[in-house]
Amino acid sequence: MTDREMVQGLLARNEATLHIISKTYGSYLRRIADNILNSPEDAEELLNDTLLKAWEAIPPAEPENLRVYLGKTIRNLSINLLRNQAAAKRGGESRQVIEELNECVSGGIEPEGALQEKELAEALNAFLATLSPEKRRLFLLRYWQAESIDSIASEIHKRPGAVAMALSRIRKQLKRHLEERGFEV
Amino acid sequence: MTGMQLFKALSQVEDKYLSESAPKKRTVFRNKWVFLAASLSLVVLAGFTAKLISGWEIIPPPSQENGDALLRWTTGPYPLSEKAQALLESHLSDHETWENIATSPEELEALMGIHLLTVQGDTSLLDWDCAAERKEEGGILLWGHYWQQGWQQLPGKDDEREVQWTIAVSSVLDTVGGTKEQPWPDVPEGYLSIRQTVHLDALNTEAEMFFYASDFPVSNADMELRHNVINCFLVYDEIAYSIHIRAALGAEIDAGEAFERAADVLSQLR
Repeated sequence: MTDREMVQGLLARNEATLHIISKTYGSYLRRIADNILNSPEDAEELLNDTLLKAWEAIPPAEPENLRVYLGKTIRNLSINLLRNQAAAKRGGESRQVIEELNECVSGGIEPEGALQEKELAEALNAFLATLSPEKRRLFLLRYWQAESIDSIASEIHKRPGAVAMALSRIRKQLKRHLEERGFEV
Repeated sequence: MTGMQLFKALSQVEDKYLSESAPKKRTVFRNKWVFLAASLSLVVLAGFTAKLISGWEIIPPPSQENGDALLRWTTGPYPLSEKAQALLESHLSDHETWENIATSPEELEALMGIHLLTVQGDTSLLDWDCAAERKEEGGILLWGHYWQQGWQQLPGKDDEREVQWTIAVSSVLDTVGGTKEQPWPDVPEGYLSIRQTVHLDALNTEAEMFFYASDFPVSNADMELRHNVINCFLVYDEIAYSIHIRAALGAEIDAGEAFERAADVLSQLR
């Protein structure tokens, strides 16, 4: 079943569609949550939450790319849970990922206003546009999906060392990019 | 700003980029190594075909036990200057030097046999599996080389690759007595490759290098072809490989020219 058909199923309030979505994207979504939280139990719970949110949001929403839509949803839910202190202590691959991202920024406390977040998101999208598709994929696998270096290396058929090196270079590029746009890094 | 803020902000990445990061469907050429292996098969085939047609002399591959054979094979059909010959001979006969580099008798044997390199004290830098894998595929003539931690330790941020290149050249210059204008004076490729790795490591750069050529029959024409094809491979990766371009083709040819030559050869092969 295509994304479009699954969305149509949700629009038609067909509950069986949820089962199909879970079967199609369940492992992908669980993986994102588990990468971030290092907890299969939480990942399973968040998968259900994600499906519920999709059920509630569609309609009126009609995402063109259901996989990305669900991925974003579970990532947000995972981050919210991660920010809970107990979850943060446990940490998953995200702990290392966030440490790496700390290299790109000052680490100083800044207000997390909606404006700041919007500007940052715009800057990140602009940065991604400057990367080659290959590097962009690498960056997103690591910093969006919180995949481990080893798993990325296996996915893209490169050595873990080469992946780590490439990511290091991309982080430096990102730091420069953010600096040039006036972010305090 | 914190890494967490950045991580969170990435939630707003545009969908089109996330679509790109979906797992890719496998193709016949799953990655560059498979492509290289396929290219190599083509080269091997071309070499044998050429031999059948013209009867070119085939120089036997090196014997793992015979330093003389290794010397002949390493230098191939190219005439060497007296200085280069002396450098190579002294290096090959100086087993103590090899032993200083190798971390085990097996590694020493490999060093003598197929120029498989490692650096004393850190066998993790050596990828035996990869070398063996190439061997099983037949006709090995790849060079691999990448940088890890050392890259991040270098000063400057305008063009780190250029910085790395400069340092790498300088470190070799000390060894072979070259100049920046002519960094590879009359030194055969195998020799330079070895010295580079050792000296790069001395710079605290975690470097890895493995294999070039093992049981690949080498004729004059093959040798020329081989150099060019090597450079085709190098196009796939980044600046570290251009060191080998210079090592393979000589100081008078820069990377850009080498790429052009590689493209020519590839087009001829096709």
